[in-house]
Amino acid sequence: MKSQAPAPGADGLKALHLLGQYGERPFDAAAIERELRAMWKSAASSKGALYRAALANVIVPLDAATHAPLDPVLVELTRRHPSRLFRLERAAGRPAVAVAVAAAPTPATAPSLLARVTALCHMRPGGGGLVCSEQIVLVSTPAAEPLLPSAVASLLVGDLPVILLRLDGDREPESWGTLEAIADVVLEDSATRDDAASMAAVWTRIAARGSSRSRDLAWTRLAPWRELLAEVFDQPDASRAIAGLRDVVLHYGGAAPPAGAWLLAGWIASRLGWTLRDRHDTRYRFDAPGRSVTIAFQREPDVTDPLLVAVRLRSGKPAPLDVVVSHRGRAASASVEFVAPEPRLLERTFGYREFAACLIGEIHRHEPNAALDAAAPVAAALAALGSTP
Amino acid sequence: MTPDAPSTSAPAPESAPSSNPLREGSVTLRAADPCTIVVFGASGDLTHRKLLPALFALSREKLLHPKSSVVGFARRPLSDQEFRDASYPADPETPKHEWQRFAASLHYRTGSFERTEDYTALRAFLEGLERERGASGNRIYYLATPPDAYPLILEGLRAAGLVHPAGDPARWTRVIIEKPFGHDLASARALNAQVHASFDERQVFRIDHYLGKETVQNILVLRLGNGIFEPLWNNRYVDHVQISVAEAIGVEGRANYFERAGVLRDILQNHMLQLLTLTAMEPPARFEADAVRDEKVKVLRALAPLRREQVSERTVRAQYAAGAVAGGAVPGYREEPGVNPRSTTETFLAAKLEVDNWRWAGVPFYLRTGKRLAKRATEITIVFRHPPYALFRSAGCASLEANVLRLRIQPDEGISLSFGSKSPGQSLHIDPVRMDFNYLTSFGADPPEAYERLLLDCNLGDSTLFARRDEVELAWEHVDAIASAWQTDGPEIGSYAAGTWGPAEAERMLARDGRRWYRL
Repeated sequence: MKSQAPAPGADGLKALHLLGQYGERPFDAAAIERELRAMWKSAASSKGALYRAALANVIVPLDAATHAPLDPVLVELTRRHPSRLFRLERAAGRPAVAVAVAAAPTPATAPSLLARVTALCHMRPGGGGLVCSEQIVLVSTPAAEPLLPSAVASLLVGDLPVILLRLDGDREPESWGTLEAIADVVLEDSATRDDAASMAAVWTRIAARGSSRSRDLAWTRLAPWRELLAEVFDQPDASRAIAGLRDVVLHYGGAAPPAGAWLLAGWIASRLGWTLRDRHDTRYRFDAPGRSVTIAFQREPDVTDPLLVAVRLRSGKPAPLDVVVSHRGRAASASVEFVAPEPRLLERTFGYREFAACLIGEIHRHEPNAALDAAAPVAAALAALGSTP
Repeated sequence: MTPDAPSTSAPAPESAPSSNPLREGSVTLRAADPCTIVVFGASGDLTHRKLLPALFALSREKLLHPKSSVVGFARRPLSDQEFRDASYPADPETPKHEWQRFAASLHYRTGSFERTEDYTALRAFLEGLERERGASGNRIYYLATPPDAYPLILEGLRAAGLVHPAGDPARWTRVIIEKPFGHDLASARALNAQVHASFDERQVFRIDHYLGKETVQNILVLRLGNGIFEPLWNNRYVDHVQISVAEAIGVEGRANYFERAGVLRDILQNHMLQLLTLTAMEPPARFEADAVRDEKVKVLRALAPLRREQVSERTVRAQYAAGAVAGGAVPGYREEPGVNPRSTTETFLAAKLEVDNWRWAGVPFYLRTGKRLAKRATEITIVFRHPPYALFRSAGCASLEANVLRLRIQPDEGISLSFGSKSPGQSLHIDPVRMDFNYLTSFGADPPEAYERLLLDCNLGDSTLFARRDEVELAWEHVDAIASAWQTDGPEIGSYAAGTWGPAEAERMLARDGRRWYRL
């Protein structure tokens, strides 16, 4: 994962109470349900008031890279959205090579799918008991990965939505395909991808499946940027300029345009009805009604984190506009600097959201996201053209 | 400009031009602007018990802008540090670093509500503080004082130039006014006139903390966000509605105020009529402040005024006598400290009201509220009509229980629906059973405190959950009619033992209609 990965909330971990901690054993769905029941029974008698809650089934495949930074996020997720959590971990020391389902070893030869159960509990605000989420950890060797979807399916809480958090990009398509088949919603994060091609693959999947089933957390993180840019054109002296917008420059940190920059470009182009024509050097040319417009990506050498840091929008006559919206890191405010028509500098609230908040926001979304549906294919097309001069 | 924020769901302002294509197809969420919240009456119980914990919770959830500050203002001399120390949460699990971050934004100014120079000094302090914190001058003035101080504070703010006009693009000013908003219609009108001398209605947030309760907001979601309830929500299917606000506590040190108010002014005028309007209102055209409040006002206009001759028959008033509540002996109302031994202030009230409109004609709304009742509980009970034909009469099941939808506002917030079900066995027996929704077990969390939501909404400029001028004045019209009739022709004040569900006369009032109060 890149550095945009979630920042843990230390207090979330502090408030956590773990129940259970039964040892790992070969996977047996009935035994797991029995262990869960036994865990609740013993906890209820020893821990006082305890509420077992589940609003969703959340499946989280983890690898070495995603494991550590995701831990506090999952704790926070269970605090704010109690769920039955399925952690799909890889057995240590085995190479990450998947095999086809047909080649899966039989239990007799290799009982390579192990399971353990615990519960993540949080103190109710103001005290008065614990609210607990069940956690089922499935540890597989690569050879057993194809068995995971059926193992998970046997333990899903009925009638609750199934959310797949797909951050582990290394798994083979077969494994993902079967896991995705049992999920109602797949949440990805293109910001965790290392190159434009794998980012584009995320957006292509979203374009194919639609945002009611597939989302990108990098898009969620862009919400304050989209809000700020939209509000630029709410300003009385800027509202007429939108039809004459001719030049957009996205300034970014890091070695290459981050996912957010591609997505924001896709959003602007799709909202304004621009059609991608080609790439010329670092500029992407679009056909707009009655004119040609460009979107360019500009690297800021002093910013090392792969983040969007500024957006410049320019339009010509009859309503000239030149405005730069800038934001850094997790700052609570962004600056909006109008160069034209009238120079002025505004400071605006920037609703930065932590990873867990983005994740929970998407879990709570039940409607298709029309703006993402339109932006994802444009972002994918832009990224497919590449950014290297 | 007000960009996205976690966990808030206020829609973008209506003023955003619809021609902006960057707005189309996306739901924008708003973050709270930086602002300075000035709490008048900062040394009081409300501030320490409700307001500061709510602001701290908002700060912890990062729903307060980091440049925001809270300034307490009261007569009692305190330093900033003493104010912070007095505000420290009782919860031993409070994360220290989060408290320290919030406490750094807490300030205190000693001042008199009467003295002009104290407001001038407050203005200088606020301007300096805002410069120091880089805040833009947005302000919320929270009037958490006894109501008799409101006029003084409003005048002080105006005279010191502490109120910026509505529509100022650079900064906004809002005022939150606690209930009771007036003592009767005349005083409410006078207070409204004074408020409007300084503030535009868009800047005024009349708070009734009941409206901030998750379960109260859920009344509209239940009715209008689901397909199955609204078709039944009318006089064709509903037999009657009960709204109960029961308190186990007595006057708890508020005898001076309560003696003048009684539950009629303290509870019915605000909490109960708010619950009634939300239950009875028509669906608004849009879910926004004025559209919702317009519909609530229509209910108050349709509420049939009790004629003088009806008051004896349709209202019951009583006082609690000594008894036992939750296993502890308690004195009668007239024995409470600060209460006139010959007081005739009501601590219990039951009333039968009718909403004269197409939807509710013929459906009585029974309201009851009281202190020192058996337990604390607030509930709206929708009692449905029996089926048109008693199919199971021949099997001895003629008098089935009515279907009842119970909206539990507090405690154990939730909703339950009771219906008849065949008991297992060879013979036909029908028993009432219950389907239950409980916030804690369904969502794994208790609903947030009402003040958190309301303070955040005010910061966001969303007045949907605050009472509008006409709403308040119409509610007082109804209350004045009852109060005036009680003074002349009303029922004698009755008595009930503390720890019971009120006087027998309240039961008789429903029994006359062939109905009964549902147990809370």
